[in-house]
Parts: sequence; C-alpha cells; structure tokens
Amino acid sequence: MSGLRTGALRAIRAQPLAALGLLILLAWSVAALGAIGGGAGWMRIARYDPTAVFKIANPAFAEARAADALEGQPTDLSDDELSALLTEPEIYGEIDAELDATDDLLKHIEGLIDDGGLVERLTEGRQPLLEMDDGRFALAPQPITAVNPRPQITGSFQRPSWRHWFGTNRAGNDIYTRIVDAAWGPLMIGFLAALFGVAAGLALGRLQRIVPRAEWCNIPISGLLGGLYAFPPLVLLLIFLVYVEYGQIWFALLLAPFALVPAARIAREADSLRAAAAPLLGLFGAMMVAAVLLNAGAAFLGFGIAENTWGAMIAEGRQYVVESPWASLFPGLALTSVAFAAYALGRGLQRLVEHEQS
Amino acid sequence: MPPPPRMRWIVAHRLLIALISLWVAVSLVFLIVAVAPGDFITQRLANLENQGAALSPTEIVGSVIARRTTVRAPLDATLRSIAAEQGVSLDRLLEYNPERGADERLAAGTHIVALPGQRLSEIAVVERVVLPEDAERGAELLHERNPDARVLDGEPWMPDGAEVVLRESVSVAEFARAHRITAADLLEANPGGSPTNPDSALSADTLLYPGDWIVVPLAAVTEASLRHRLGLDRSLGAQYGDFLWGVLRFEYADSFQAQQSALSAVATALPRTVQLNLYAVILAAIIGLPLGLAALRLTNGRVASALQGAAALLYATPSFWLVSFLIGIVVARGFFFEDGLWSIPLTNRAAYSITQSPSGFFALYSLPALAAGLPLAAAVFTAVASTGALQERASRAVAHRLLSALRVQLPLLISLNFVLELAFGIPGLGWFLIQRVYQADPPVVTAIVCVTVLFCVFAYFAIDTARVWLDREAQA
Repeated sequence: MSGLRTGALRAIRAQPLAALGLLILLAWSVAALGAIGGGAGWMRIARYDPTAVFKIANPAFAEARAADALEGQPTDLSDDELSALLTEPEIYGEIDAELDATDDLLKHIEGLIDDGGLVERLTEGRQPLLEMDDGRFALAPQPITAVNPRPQITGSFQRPSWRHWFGTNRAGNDIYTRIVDAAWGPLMIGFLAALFGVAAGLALGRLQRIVPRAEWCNIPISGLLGGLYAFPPLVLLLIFLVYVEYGQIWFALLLAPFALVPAARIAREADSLRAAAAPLLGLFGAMMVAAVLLNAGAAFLGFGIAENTWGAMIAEGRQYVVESPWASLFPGLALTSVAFAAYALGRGLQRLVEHEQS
Repeated sequence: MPPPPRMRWIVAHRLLIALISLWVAVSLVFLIVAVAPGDFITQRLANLENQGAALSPTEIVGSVIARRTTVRAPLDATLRSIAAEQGVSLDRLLEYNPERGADERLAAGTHIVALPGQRLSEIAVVERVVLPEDAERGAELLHERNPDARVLDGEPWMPDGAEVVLRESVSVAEFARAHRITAADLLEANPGGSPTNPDSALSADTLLYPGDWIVVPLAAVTEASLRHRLGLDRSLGAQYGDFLWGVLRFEYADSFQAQQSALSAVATALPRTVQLNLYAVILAAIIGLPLGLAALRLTNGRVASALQGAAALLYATPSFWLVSFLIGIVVARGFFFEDGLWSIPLTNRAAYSITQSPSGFFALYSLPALAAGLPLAAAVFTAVASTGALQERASRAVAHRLLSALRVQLPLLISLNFVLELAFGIPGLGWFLIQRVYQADPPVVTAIVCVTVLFCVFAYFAIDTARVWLDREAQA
C-alpha cells in the first residue's frame, strides 16, 4: 500500500500536468454523474433544474406569455376555457421553494392575488394558482395587460453573482447549472470516440503485422484506412448526420476514423504491444481533445444531439460577447478545461510509460 | 538486414495507396450522397411545397418602373470607404448623396445611393428576361427596347421612376428557358391554353403578351423528375461509373438551388478556405516555431514545464470560441480602445480575396486566422520542443516532427476552420457545405466533399513521402 502511495506521489511529481488533468477529468465526471436525474440532479451539484430556471427569474416573462395567450380571444370565455388557456405549462413555470424566492418575486405574487379580476376568477376554478404543498408553487400570470409593461425580461444576462455563479443567459437560465447539466456529452463522446478509434486501429495495425511479409495484402488495408482518413472528421459527420437519427454513439463512431489511422500506424510500426503502449496513450489523449472540440463544433453549427450542449451555449452567447461575455466565456472555459485535461493526462501517461520502459 | 527499398519504389507504393484511398473515399461519397439522397429529395420537395411553388400562376410583365440602387453602409464606413470598396468614384457618390460628406462616419446599415436608377442588366435578370449568366446579353436586349437609357461605364441604366419596357411579347419556349424549365414542362402545366389564347392548345412557338397569365410549374419537380435530373433513375452501376468519370474530369451536376454549376460554387469558395487555412498555418509557424526552438535551449525545468502547460492549454482552446472574444476585444468601442481597434468589413466582398483588396483581406481574415493559428502554434511548439536535446542533425529532427504534427493537425484544422467560416461569415467551402447540406443540394455537397477529400489524400501523400525521404537522408 505504501509502495503504491510513493509510486503515485512520484508519478505526480514527475508529471504534475497529468495529475492536474486527471483531477479535472474526475471533477467533471463527478459533476456529470451528479447532474443525472430531475431538478438539480441527485447530487444537487447543479443548482437549479436547468429547464425551469428561467421561469423563476422572470415573472415578466410569464406575464408576457399569458398576454400572448389571451390576445385575440373573445371576452366571454368561460372559466374553464380561461383556466385551460392560462395554465399551460409554458405560460407559467414552477419555482423551487429552496431557491429563496426573492422579495421582488414574492411581492409580485402578492400583487397578483390582490389584483383580483381574472386572477380571482381563475382561483375560484378547479385550478388554484398557488400551490404551496410539496415545496413547489406555481407562478400566476398577470393576464389582464395586453402589453408587457416590462419588455426586458428581468432575468436575462445577469452578471455572475452569488446567486448565479456564472451569470445567466439570454433566456435567464443559470449558466452554471446548464454547464453542469451538459457535462456528460463531451466526456462521453470524447472518451468513446478515442476508445473506438484507438482500439480498432490497434487491432488493424496488429493484423497488418501478423500478415507475414505480404506487403500486397497491406496495400488494400492501408488504402481503405486512408480513404476513411481522407475526410476531415467534421465533413464526414456533417454529410452523415443528414441521414441518421443521430445519438451520442453515432457522433463517437463518426469521429473514430480520425483516431483509427494514426493508431493503426503506431500499432504496425511498433515491435511489440508494450512498445506501442506509450504512443497510444498519448494518441488517446490527443484524439479525445479532437473529439471533444469537433463535437462542440458540430453543436456550435446547430448539429446537436441534445438541446443543451456547451457548443450551443457558446454559439448563443457569441452575439452578446461584448455586453455579456460570461454567456459564452464559461461554457468555453469548461470545454477548454476538459480538452486540456484529456491532452495533459494522455501526454503525461505517455511520458510515464516511456520512462518506466527505458 | 535487407537494404532499404529504393525511394522511387516507396513513392510508387505510397502513390498506389493514395489512389486506393481516393477511390475508397470517393466511393464513400457516392454511397452517402448519391445512393441515399432520399432525404435530400424529400427535403427539396418539402421546401418547394412550403414556398407554395407547386404550380404558380405568373403574369407576363410588359414593363416595370426602375428604382434607385442603394447599398447599405457597413460598420464604420464613410462615403470614401464605400467608394473604394464598390470601385466607384467618390465624386459620383457625393453627387448622388448630397446630404453626406466624404468622410462623415455613417451609421451601419444606412442606405447610400449607389446609382439614382437601376442597371438594365439587373432588371433583365430580376424580371427573368434572361438567365443570370446572360446578364450582359439581357442588358443589350433591354437597351434596344429602351433606347433612351443612359449609359455609365458602358453599362446602360434607367433613372429612378422611369418605365422600362421588358418585352412586347415572348414565346412559350423563351419564357420556359428564362425559368429554367423545358417548353414541354410549361405546356403540360397549361393544358387549357392561356387567357389570351383560350381553348387553344399552346405550342412552343405561341407568343404570350403582357397581361397574359401562365402557370409556371416551378415544381415540375416531382420525386420522379428529381431523380431523373440527378440521374438516379438509372442502374446503380451506370450511376457509379458516371460518378467516378465525373469526379475524374472534375465534372459535377448543376446545383439544385442556386443557378450555377456545382463546380463554380466550389471555385468561388475554395480560394477563401485556402487563404484562411494558409494564413493560419503561417501564423502558427511564425508564433510556434521560434518559441519551440527557444524552448529546446532551455535548461530550466520549471520554465519548460510551465511553457508546456501553457501550450497544452492553448492547444485545447476551441478556435470558434476564441474568435468571438478576439472580435469582442477588437470591435468593442471604449472597452480597450476609444474607437474600437478596427472595423471589420463584413459586407465587403472584395475582402474575401487577398489580390482584390489586401487591406480588407487582412482586416477580415486576421482574427479567424489567429484563432485557428494559436492552437496550431501550440501544437507546433510542442512538436519542436519535444524533439529532445539538440543533436547534430537537429534541423532534420525538427522538420520530421513538424511534418508529423502537420499530418495529425491538418484534418482538425480544416474541420475547425469550417466551423470558423460559419462563425465569421466567410463564405468558403465549410460555409457552402453546411448551407447546402441544410438546403438539400447534393451536387454541391458532393463537389465540395470530393475536392476536400482530394486535397487531403494528396496532402497526406506529400507529407508521408517527405517524412520517408527525411528518414532516409538521416540514415545515409
């Protein structure tokens, strides 16, 4: 046990960057795992439910939506019809009671109740507007105004603060929550793409070595690999995605050829599997970087597998980079940190193994 | 140990592999784009349906009123800069826009009168007197019909508000041609004749007169006709043969969407992409190479590790993210600089080419090239710095490392630059590819992918051969 500890300490001292990389990847993995599940995730590493957050900050948003829903409706709607119109989930959201609803918000809700009128009619119906049981309550719209008195959505582009660590985006979503929520994608796709590519390349490269002295047999294999490699990975991804109902595995598979060819070359040229180990580890890291960046690039272009990705967040925040740089700064930093960690870890491991072998 | 094979055998061997690679890659394109274009076709049909263009009654227009021609001012423009960009004389612009001064800063988007009327060539194309590629002939035609047109720099134009006679009559065949359909298509869509020729069957020679209406089957374009146009109704073998033969001769079908051949779309876009990538590579070499060589001489371990860490961080930075911050810093007024560092002429077409407008080129391309070049510079730095202690043949070892790095980075660079093109609005290959994938345009997609693949295969061939050559020189 103590031998293991001294060994690990020595490795950390020899390759501090790799240790940093490992730490970052572990942290992101914990965050990604912790964000699984409804609300803020089972570990509550995310702070809010990434889909519902914008509604908290934005009573004005709810008002505007309710006004939209009422516009053009006849005035003699029955209570049931009104109720059905105004209680659609997209008009008013749910608020997590843990989120210490701000004074403003509470005042706003009180105001709605005092207003009476339509709101009163609604509360008399079967659908109460405020539900305080199980810690959640719904925000009532203020449906009488046809014009939203505050056109600027109140929660949009808030600066980073104690409440919103990384600020909020245009829709008023908490950026930190969204980043944690989307962490799963890059980790998973980066790892799988590098794994598929390097494993398949290793197998093919060894196969080419086993076929003894038959250089002519190797030519078609090399040609086939070269043909796959001739596509810049994003091009292959783009033209293929038109046809497949894409999921994460497809992304990983389509990015894999990029790692396959260098891996096959290393496996072919190395004298033994042992000798191939070090460069393959380095390659694994580099390919993970490429897969993470390309996946984000595809999401940036709008080819997304999920509605919430770091690439899409960067794309959205890009237009507001002068006034609200945080909207794309933090997703970009997250992306860079994962790519950097994968690269540093792969390279560090490569050096360590090389060192051991020599 | 057997003697190493001769260089020319190695080259032949690699060339053979490159050709097989090319064949495999092009066949893959055929498989993806040509054999399975179901989505392209359904998408195209859906587009047409959305446009309500299934069958569109069209009036034969006899004359139109000319309007003045305006351009919108780009960011930070003055009349002087617009004159330079558009290649017109400043005096003329001042005359057309008397309320403006030559060096008055214009709000972005301001309409500036470029001509107090409309060029006949433009009218001819817009009103479908001729096809866009025949704009010059259209101008001549309309000049004959409108002898009172004025002429500027050899181009006839009509002043704002003047009536322009388009045609006295037009034959069915001619009208069909101007809409890029066949006369047969047009006749089929109008079985009952036209209002001026009621109940009489039309023929290709029938003349149509202004005020007449005719149904133009923009979507004569059924699934069957689309397949026919793409040549997809033939046997797979024949399609594949034609496809390969077409690729060999650089011939691709006409674009589905724009009125141009797929290859001309590529020819427009390719130089822009090449410029961006080359610029990025040059910047990467200028930044990464000296730093890497300096790091080779470093004896201080801490500084070396810090440099490596910085390089790793830079390498991991997504260029499409970096570029928006670079832009933000440069264009933000009063943020770092009183007036913004410079304005980016995003609407200036001449800036897409270094030969047409060198200053525009550098203003437009410098930021994206820097964003793409910095991560690449980090890769170059790492490759050079990890060559090991300076040996006797250091330059050869460095060159070898650089080639290896380039081979690994090239596909990544090209891919991420495609993203950058879109982020930055440079209409290069990536921009066209993504736009045409969305628009369902198989010929252009095919052409772009084939050209890219061709370039990559031969770039790898060249890099590999150079590496082998370096190795042999080292051994000798």
